[in-house]
Amino acid sequence: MVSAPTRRPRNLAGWVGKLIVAALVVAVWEASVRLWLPDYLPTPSGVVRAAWPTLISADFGKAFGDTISGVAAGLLIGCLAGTALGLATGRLPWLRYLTSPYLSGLYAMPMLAIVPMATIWLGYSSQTRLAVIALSAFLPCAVSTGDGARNVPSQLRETAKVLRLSRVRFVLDVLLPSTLPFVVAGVQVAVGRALVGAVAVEFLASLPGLGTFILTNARSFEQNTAFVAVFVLAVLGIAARAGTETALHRLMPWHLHVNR
Amino acid sequence: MELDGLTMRFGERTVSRDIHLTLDPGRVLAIVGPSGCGKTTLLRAVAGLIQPAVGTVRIDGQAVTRTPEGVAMVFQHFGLFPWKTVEANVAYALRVSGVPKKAALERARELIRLVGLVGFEKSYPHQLSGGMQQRTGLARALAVRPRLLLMDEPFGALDAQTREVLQFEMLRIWQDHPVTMLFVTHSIDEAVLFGDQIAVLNGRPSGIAELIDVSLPQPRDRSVLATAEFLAIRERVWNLIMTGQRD
Repeated sequence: MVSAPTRRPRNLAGWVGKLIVAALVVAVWEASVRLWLPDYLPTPSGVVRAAWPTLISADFGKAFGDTISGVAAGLLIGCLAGTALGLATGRLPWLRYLTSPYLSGLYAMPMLAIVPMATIWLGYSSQTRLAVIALSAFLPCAVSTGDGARNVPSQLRETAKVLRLSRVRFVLDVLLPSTLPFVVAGVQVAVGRALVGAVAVEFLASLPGLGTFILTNARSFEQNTAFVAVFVLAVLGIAARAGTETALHRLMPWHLHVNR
Repeated sequence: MELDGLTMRFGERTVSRDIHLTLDPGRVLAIVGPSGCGKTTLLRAVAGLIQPAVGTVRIDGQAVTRTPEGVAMVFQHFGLFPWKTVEANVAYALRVSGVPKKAALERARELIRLVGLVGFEKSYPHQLSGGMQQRTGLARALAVRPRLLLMDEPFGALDAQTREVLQFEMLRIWQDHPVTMLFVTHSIDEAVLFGDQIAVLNGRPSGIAELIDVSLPQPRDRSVLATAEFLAIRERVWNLIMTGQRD
């Protein structure tokens, strides 16, 4: 008999390596600005010094709130609608046939291309941001979930038939769990695209938010402050990614083993 | 169970032609033949997973159009739900056939004991070896007390050693809990070991070369492998398959 599974030990050497690389990057950055480059460029030490005052400032707080609430609402709408459509297209071949040119076409298109028009349709308002974010999130969710729902492994479909599962049972007990990893993959892509969409709309439509915060500070040579906001965005992206990864491993330890 | 003049086709290609077979309750029929002879296709027709081009499969007199009630199957690829634990996989088969939750879990535990998986109830399939996954598949199939058990090369995806261990364990389990069984395999040893009767398929499209009655006494165990009768039947099946290959 095989012994019960054990957890993979943390790789200490790997972490040390990562820290060394990070230290090198920071050192080269700092040194090159101080030695050769104009002093209005941001430096790691400058960013660190600017970090706390920026993070507690009212301007930043408002910008952060604006962007995050837009991203959260847009993601919620886009991911729910996209996942629902994805499940439907996965199960209904005619719906897939009718929608796939639009889905794959829009998925491939940079969403920023529609922002100038969207600002005219919806105004220079947070509705434009919401719409762009929701659409940016909708597409990857619809495409990924559709792929998953369409490709329930044949082995599992056979098992379902032999177990004489009803349609409802099949959808709830086989289709949904086997598609779940694809839903999560869709959401992961959606989060990234939503952040990009939010910042881009703010740039292009001058909406209050982190994008505009960065733009304004950068143009007034407060690049260290601008960089704090850039890092906040990066951390948000990383945190969302790490969060979904952790959820995947905790709640679906089997997610890599849905054979296809 | 009765196969009445079954012809199976894949598109234009006829895989097997005019197969007649009967399996009486309590007996084991083994279907053996070279790979690609359509034995799994026959089994899938019995399970109602595909429809024959000509002929009918009947189980207890009823023509099969989808998997009939009381028919369980053990797949070569195990067919376990990756998101369910061993226990949940076994219990699920019972739950969907209407067994209440508590009774299903109790029966699942009983079967897990029977197939030697105690301690792995909460493990997921991907945490188990192939042999242990197939033990789970076996437990799931037996849990519902099927009136007909379909075995589709159940040990075909396992390494040689695991395969042998599981064969004899299955033999032991079958002796304690006899069940009508249709056993498809390309292993001649397996066919002789399990079958009361062996249908040898050969040719293209394949037909039944011969139906061999296996008069080896029950219960059988590993010692059967060395008996003169086992070897004689084995040799006969081998020759039949080889004759077909030369055609």
